[in-house]
Amino acid sequence: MKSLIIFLLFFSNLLAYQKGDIISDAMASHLGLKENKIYIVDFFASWCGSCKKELPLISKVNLQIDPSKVEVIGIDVDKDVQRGIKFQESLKANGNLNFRVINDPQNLVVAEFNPIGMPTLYYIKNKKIIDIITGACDDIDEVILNDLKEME
Amino acid sequence: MQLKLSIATAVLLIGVSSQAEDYVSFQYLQYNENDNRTTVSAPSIMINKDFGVDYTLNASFVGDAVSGASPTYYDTASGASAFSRGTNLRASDVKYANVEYEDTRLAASLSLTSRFANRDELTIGLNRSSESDFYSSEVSAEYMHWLDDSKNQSISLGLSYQYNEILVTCVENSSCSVDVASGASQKMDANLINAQLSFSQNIDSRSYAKFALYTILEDGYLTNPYMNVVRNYNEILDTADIVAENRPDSKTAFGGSVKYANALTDTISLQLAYRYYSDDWGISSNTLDSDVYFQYNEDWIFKLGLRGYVQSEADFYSADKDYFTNETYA
Amino acid sequence: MKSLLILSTLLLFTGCIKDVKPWEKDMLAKETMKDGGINSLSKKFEEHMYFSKEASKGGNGVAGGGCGCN
Repeated sequence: MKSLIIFLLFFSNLLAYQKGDIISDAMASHLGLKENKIYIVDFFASWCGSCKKELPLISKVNLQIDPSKVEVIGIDVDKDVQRGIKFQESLKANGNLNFRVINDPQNLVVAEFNPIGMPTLYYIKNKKIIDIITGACDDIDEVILNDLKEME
Repeated sequence: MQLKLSIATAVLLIGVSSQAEDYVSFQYLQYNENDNRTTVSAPSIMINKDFGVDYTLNASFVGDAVSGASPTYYDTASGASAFSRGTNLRASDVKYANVEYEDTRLAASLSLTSRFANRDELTIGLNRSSESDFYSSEVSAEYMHWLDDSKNQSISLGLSYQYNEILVTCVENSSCSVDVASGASQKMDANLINAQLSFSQNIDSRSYAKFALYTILEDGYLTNPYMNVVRNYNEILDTADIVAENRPDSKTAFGGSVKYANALTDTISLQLAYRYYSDDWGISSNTLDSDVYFQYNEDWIFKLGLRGYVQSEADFYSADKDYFTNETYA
Repeated sequence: MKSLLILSTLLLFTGCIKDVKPWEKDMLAKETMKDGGINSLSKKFEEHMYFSKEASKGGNGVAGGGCGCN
């Protein structure tokens, strides 16, 4: 963790993961990424209106995918952790959040990825960024299903 | 006419029933002035609905009940309605005082915001309002374009057209074309075009500023049909006429504004705004608005506002009874 | 004098401007930070109130609706 922080402090302003980039070992370890599995990493926040619309749809598609092959990870960038957790709990209660969430109150994870908008979704396999979906997207559940089909 | 300090109070109650970004808002607004000048009670409803992430529809309906008293010149000797006018009246009988009125205004508005792939926005709006003597229809469009990928800068261009109809009771010296003697009413009309260009910039993670330039072009019947002026004062005979006021039939105005907002703390926000206005009637003004918002918790937000406004009078402004006018416009 | 004031305000802002990252916009996204305040309907009502007492209007967007209050 310490090495991740030092690494990010030095390079956060320069790094921005683009399609085709390889994420750092420290980040892969922090996110708990395993080999040969597709990860859908979604950055969201309680104050982000578009994120609120997308999370239920991502949860819906999460029920349709094979968890041994694909895993969804949410990154909550709320600086106020308690507020973020409260937001997550309210979504979980309605079945609108059913995947693992990593809280990023110091914004170190999001700073390394450096997305240009919120929400942003990254497809990662074997530490490589396969694709990025930036910004609000209608029918994100169908988009994800189509993208995963093409990745097979 | 002397400026009087008027004290206005307004109370706003908002009840909101909402799910996610959609909401229905019930509001009750109450406005009062001292000296029983103007009272407005305005219950209203507003509905905001998102359709996906690309469309937002907003609709509102307001019913204003307006009552009070408005100052104007009238003839005390006639004993008639204080909107009475006449010629060769005794000048010493001319008074400037409050005259009672009441009216109901119904207004409806609808707007649709569309967001494009680059998240630019186009908002189309319709407004319609009616009072017993005033009907207004408006169509507007505003396009907002992001200037940078981080969405910290944007530019907007807005344009609206308003068509107003005013019911005027015809009296001598007015611009009505119907039979004056019958006291009939005529619908006069007026057009208004408003164009505004704005630039918005996020300064840091807690504040932003917005700059705007605008112009308003009006033509048609721009006079207040209930206001009177005093003309043809004859000091020797002590006579004067009370007639309808007469404003020019066109007005061109320009203005500029600067706004600044800052989230001072997690619960307190400050919004400041300055506006400069100038038109070809000779009116120019400076307005300074400051609003402080205090978010007590998730359910309660309080706002405290202070506004300062200074303006010059129109070139043709007639001050008070001691200043009788024979200018074309007054 | 007024144009000088506006220009200097602009320059001051230019020097202090930061590129705010998308995930840093939590404060800017607050309801109390919306241009025109937390409620557009009450803002319209306020503008009609002021317009009925003052001889100036405009500067708060082009859509406001008319009223016979002036």
